[in-house]
Amino acid sequence: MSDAPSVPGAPTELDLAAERERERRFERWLFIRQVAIVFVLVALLVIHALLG
Amino acid sequence: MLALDIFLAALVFMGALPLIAGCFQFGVAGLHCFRRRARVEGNVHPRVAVVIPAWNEAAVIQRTLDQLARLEYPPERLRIYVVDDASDDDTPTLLRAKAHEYPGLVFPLRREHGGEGKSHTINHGLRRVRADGWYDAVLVIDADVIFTGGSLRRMARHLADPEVGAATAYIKEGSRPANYMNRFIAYEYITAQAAARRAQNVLGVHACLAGGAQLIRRESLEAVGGSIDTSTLAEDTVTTFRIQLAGKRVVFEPHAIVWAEEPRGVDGLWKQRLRWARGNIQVTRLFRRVWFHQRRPGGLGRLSFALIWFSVLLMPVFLLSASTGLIALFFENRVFAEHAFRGLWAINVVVYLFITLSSFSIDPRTARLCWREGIAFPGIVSLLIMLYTVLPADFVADGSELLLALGIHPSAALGNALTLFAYAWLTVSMLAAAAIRQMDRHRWLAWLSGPLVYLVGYGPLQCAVTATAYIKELRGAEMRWEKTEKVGAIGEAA
Repeated sequence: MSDAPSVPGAPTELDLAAERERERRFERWLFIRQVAIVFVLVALLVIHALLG
Repeated sequence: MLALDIFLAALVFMGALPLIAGCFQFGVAGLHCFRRRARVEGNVHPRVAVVIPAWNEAAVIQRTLDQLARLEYPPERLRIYVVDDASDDDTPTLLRAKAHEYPGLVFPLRREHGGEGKSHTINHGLRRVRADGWYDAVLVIDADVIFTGGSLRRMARHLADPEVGAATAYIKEGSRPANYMNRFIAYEYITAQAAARRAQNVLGVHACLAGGAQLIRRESLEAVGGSIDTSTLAEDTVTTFRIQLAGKRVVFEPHAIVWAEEPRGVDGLWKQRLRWARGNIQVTRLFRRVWFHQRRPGGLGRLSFALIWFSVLLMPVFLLSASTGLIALFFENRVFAEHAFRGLWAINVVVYLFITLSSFSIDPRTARLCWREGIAFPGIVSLLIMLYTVLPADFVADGSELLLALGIHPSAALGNALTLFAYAWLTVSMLAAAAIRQMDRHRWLAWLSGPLVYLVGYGPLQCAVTATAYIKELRGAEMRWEKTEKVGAIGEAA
């Protein structure tokens, strides 16, 4: 596999590192949002059950 | 009679299997940040040979090539082979012009005797690529797809890991202005790609490299014979299976965005999805020795993967089973039938809420475009049944008032008819979807198909296509490659 060549206008290593960090942050937030959705749904189920 | 009741209830709850599988996938997709990461994660630029099959693509091919030429990727490490499958429009002229505009980048190839289908056209290109021997990886794409700037770079970085045999991208519906069908497809792609493929990343096994963006490592292409399958209608799925069976991993890169133009009506969607569904049935047969064999390489024999695969493939069977069980219970034990019905639809409500909210969370930008279609995905009739499940007393009271206002007096006979309709809906919805397709082909009725898709649901439409695929396969119907018409509708914003 080839190494990264230097291309005019191409993202720098710094840009790429920032991009990867943004992607990781998005995936972490996705997990947190999924957990929040599950909690909300469980809460709704409990309320529905309590109200009969 | 208790045994009969339990048997019928079991039939009913078979209808919940696809729901459970959907819930499982979305649950697992949320764990994507914990997935097994590439052992090596680098900024690599393998020499990529792009293979584009093209048959009468004059409306779209120029933009596709211009966009590829503008990728954030070293031009000296990119070659684009466009295989013109005996087009009789302006495609050959346009390709010559593009080869002149991008010397050393665009290589037009021509099949004088075409019409054998997409897979033969791709293989023509692959033969040339392999003969040149220049490449580290091959990227098979469709003629209409628009790669965003960093998409190939993001896909290629996975190839830094020698265990990865292929990578695919997130294909998004890009038609602008988007009509109702484009928006339904946009939402569907959040569920089927952004969510399902994230889940498959976590599980370490993939069902399919998206046909419009398949980056395959040279060694993996050689390991699967240097060509793609021509015996089925799902050549991309066969390639995906074979790469994994050869011991390499397949990965989905959710941040590599590729825009595609999808059908704008029910009939176009039906033809496209019928091809996919028949292909999946053929793949199931082709790899019959793989299913449920845990030790097969690539994880294809795992139970979790079988749950994902068969819950889609057998969905019409599950829905038919649920309806049959409910109707039989109605005549056998009405109280039990009502409990089973509400139990099944209660699961439906929870899964619907989980999947819809999760989909909006996974791709908020697309969700802003298609949130109405996301909500209406199961169909307005199904949403009303869900409402009845959650609030039965209010629903019955309000429904009775509405009927009285319309001058209809609620009676036991009407109640029974409505109950049977609701019990049969999971199957009736598929028949209704098939009827919508017929209407869409009719000159004077086509305008009705849009509103009716909202009423009946996009999900039932897909189930109806799968059921039709079974019938076609059982009849041994001819395998025709009915190309989706592309007019270059991908918007600038996309």
